[in-house]
Amino acid sequence: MKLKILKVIISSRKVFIADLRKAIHSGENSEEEDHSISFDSIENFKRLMTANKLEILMAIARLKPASINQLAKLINREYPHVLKDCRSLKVLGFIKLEEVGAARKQLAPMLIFDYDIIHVKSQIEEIFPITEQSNRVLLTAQVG
Amino acid sequence: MNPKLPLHKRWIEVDKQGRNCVVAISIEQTSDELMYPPNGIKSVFKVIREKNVGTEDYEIVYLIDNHEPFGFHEHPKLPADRETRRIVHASNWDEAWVLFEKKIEEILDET
Repeated sequence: MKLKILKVIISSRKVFIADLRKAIHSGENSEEEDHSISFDSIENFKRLMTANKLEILMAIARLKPASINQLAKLINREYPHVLKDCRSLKVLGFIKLEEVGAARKQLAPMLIFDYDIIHVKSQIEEIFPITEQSNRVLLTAQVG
Repeated sequence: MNPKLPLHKRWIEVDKQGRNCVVAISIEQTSDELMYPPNGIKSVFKVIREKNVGTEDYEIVYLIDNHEPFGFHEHPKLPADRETRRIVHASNWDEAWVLFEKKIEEILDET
């Protein structure tokens, strides 16, 4: 079973711009590279991707909340804090917030695409399982 | 050669003043050739920045996009003024990118 990966790349601005320029001009962006978010340092990634935000990503993937309000109840946190974290995750590119409901006043949080894991490529590689499927697959891989 | 679409990329960096900045690039094919002439390719290049260090409260500080009736245009007075637009001399995303690249350096290296 193939897991869908959101790749987090740690690189310099120069490398990011060079890669992007290459993708724009030559059409050489791979499928995998389409789903990547780049950070200038692993420290910055870890500072922004807190345990609370990871929990939000897992809850969105596994419990599919219809709104941020519902999400806040599911993870037992205060709505304003969850809203703030969701807005930050949206800006960083991990999720999208879609207006739903008759008056479009509700925001439904969704993963930016249906990724199973976040793969951080740095000097030390790290994997953050997001979906239930990813837990099963990673466990099987470890046993195998 | 055209990029393989859609192309969605983000770059997150702390600027010289310690604020978190996000450079977001999105180029995608739409079916709306009237809104994004001549071929329906929608391009959005933006820089989003924390209002204050460590708050994770963000605002868009620069934006280039290409919807009609303006074609490629920038929003040069963000975040205060969302309505001011300035047509940029770019006929496609490729030329717009060159302008945007200069702007990224300017904003992220601002002291």
